Amino acid sequence: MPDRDRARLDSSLCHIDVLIKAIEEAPESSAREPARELIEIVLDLHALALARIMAAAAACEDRRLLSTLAEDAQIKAMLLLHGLHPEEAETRVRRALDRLRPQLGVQGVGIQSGRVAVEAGRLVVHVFAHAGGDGEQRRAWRREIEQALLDAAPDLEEIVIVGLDDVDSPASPDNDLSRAALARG
Amino acid sequence: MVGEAEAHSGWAARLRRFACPPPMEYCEFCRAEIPAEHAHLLDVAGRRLACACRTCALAFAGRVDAAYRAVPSRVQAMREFYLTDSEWSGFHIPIDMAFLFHSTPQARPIALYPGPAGAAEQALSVDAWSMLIANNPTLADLSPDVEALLVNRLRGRRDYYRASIDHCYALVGLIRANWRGLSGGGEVWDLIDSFFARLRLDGDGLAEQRHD
Repeated sequence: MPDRDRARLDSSLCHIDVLIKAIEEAPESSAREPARELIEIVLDLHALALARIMAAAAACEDRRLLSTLAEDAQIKAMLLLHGLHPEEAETRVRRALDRLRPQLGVQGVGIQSGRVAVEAGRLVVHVFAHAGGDGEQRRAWRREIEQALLDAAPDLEEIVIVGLDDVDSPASPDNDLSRAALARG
Repeated sequence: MVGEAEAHSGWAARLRRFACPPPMEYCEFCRAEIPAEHAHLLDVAGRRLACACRTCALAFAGRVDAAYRAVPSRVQAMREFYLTDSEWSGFHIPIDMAFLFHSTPQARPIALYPGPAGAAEQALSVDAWSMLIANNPTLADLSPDVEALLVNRLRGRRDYYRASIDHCYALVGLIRANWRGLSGGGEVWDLIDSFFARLRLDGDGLAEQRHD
């Protein structure tokens, strides 16, 4: 996906939150309900059409079409919104951690994923993370990890990340990355 | 450190929640609109939970003689609990899941256990209740009527919680609404498992119940 498109998608998603807040806090409550209903109807129309597209893609003998659709960032965002993405949230979160590992590794941050499971309606992600650096740096890494996991599963009502408070705790001996992080820190 | 983990929700969840909000609920005392997560007051004599807004719930807080009592929503897993299998059988509760508390209107301890038709009652002897408290002294300060010992011994589990009565009735409601056929059906047992899984998370302090 070109950078320009990526930036546009990101800014649209940010803008959604801002606009929702604006509508919810609008002083004229009479306008709030039609606005909400309008969004509901437009979302429904898209959901129905998207569901048919995905069903047609799934029926295709060539599985490449389905995976192309599922992997395209722009399409993926819409599939997630409508609960139509073919991958489970657990899988998406695990993949996000796998992608993050080398990127953070070169900065001296070691992360390992532990159990990722839906427990009683919320996704609980256990992470083992170790990093050097000062407090501010560690907070920035923590935000980055949280954001990456949230981006992978924006459709979940609740995602709980356990273990990021360890970002500055001593390394476990079986973790090469964390040893490297400690040596540098 | 588990206690510090916070829950997040993403943009898609927030947009969906906005576009399709859950149906509104109302305070049964002043008819104000209240959010899905709200406080409850117990109708002590009728043994029924009434939904309340924050203001009405606060008005009843600390009053123990009123017809309605504030239910402080909380749950705490009891890590060390002493109850032998034969003591449990001595309570004559037909299933391995129940909540036990002191009932003020009946002036004695009782056990309620959930079933397809709602909660059924089993009287507890004062001796049995005293024995439980003697063996597990933290039960001594359970608030009568609104706080219970919630027991889950299903499928070999031995889980004990100090739980406010709203959690106990939530379990009763879940079972009544989802029970199918004679044995309940697979779905209801999965839901019961996930109810207790959530209770374990909350009981470990991962999530605090909020009533804003």
